[in-house]
This record gives sequence, C-alpha cells and structure tokens, in this order.
Amino acid sequence: MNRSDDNGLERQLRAAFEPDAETIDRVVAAALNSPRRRPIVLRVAAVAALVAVLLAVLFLMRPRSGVQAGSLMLEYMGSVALFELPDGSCWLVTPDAAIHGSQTPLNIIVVEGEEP
Amino acid sequence: MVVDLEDTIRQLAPGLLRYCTARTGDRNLAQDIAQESLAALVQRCSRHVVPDSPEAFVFAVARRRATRAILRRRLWLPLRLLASSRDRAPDPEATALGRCECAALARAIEQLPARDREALLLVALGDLKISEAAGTLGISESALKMRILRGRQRLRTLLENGHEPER
Repeated sequence: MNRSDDNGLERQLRAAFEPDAETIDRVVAAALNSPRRRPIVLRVAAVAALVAVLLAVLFLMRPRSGVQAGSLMLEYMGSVALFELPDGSCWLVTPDAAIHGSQTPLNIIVVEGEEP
Repeated sequence: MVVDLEDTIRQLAPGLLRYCTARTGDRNLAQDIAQESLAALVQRCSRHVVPDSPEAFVFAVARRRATRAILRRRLWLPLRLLASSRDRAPDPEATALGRCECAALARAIEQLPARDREALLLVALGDLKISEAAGTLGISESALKMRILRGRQRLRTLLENGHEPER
C-alpha cells in the first residue's frame, strides 16, 4: 500500500458521493432559513409552568366532601350540658325530666339515671 | 469569536453531504440530515453560543442523527418489505441504495467496522482535520490515524473482493 493508492481510494470516494451545486445551495439556504426554535430550557420551563397552573386549577375545582368543617360549642352548667352545633341549633342534655316539659326552643335530651 | 455563519455553513455543506450520503447510502436522507445539522449550528449561533469548533459540532450532530435514522430505517424495514411485497414494488432499502450511483461503495462502507468507518468518512469525505475528527470521536489523534489506515485497507479489500478475507 502506498500513498497514491490511498489518494486514489479517497478520490474515488469523494467523486462517488460528491453533491451537485444545486443540492448544496438548497441545503445551505434551508439551514439558514430554518425556523428559530426556543431554547430547550425555555420550553421546559413553559411546560412546567403550564402543568403547575393545571394542577392548581384541578386542586381548586376538586369536589368538596358533604360535611362542612365547623366548631361545636359545649357548655356545662352543673349537670346540664349545652351543645351548639355549627348550623346554629342547640341541644340540651340533662337528667332533669322537668325541663323536657317546659316551653323552650331548645332540643332536649333527657338522660335517665343517677346524676354524676 | 466572530464567525461568518453563512460562509462557515457554505464551507461545511459539501463535506457534510458527502459524509451523510456515504453513511446512509441515501441521498435524500443525507440531505435532510445535513440540513438539520447545519440548522442546529445556525440556532446555536443565534443564541450567541458559538461552539469552539463549528466543524466538530456539526459533524457530531450529523453522526447522531445518521445513526438514529439508520436505526429507524432498520426497525421499519420488515413492515416496508411486507408492504412492498403486497404492492409488488421494489424493496425500499434497495431503492434507497439503487438511487445512489455509488451503491457498491455504500455497501462496502456499510460493511466496515463502525469505528474504522467513522474515522475514515469524517476525514476523507467530511474534510475534518485530524484533530477535529479525533475530538468529534473522543479519541487520540494517533488512534484516529490507526483507524483511518485500517479502514482504508479494509475498504480496498472489500472493493476488490466484494468481502473481507477470513481472519
């Protein structure tokens, strides 16, 4: 093998795969006029922001459970306990059956048995 | 570093097209890959991030894309063969190579070991300098020269005998 063999082989290769001038012009023009793409970092950031907004919207629109959270007020007066529910209604728990008969707007639960 | 982009691209295009055609054996596919690789350089420069070596950058992109395109073509080949046998159309792989007047050369190049083929094509057809080609392949210059030498010998044998001698 000598240098001229090498050169001959490379000349043969170059001649076989040589592009024509028109092809070169077309490829160069297309490469120079290729649409500018946004950098990958910006595209990833945009997609991440979109996903975050979608998740936030889904979180806000999630179905709520039927039970409303609220506070229950409880007061003791001796052997009588008064519950005030979040909806505003009141329940009186008492061992005194006499109250049950009285005209009162309260709901009354009479607990029979010995007083504590 | 100031680069005249259009001049650089115009200088790179012929070698890149030769490399891609020899690599894929398909002129149309080679044009697509060359165009995309050069467009990648244009986009890189438009972000004011000019690579140290535009030649090495473009050929690195072209190598990746050519490898992917060849892999895709091989994956789709059974389906295409099935479709072409139904249509009685010629084998698309054969058509791709047949369109190229250098089909025998392309087939011989395809039979070269990948490492020798890349080294030979980058330097002999892509017009890369030894240092740029070595950088693109991530090997030393002496290793690159050895691969080019081996690639030339094997290619010459393949072109003379149609196949490599048994080792």
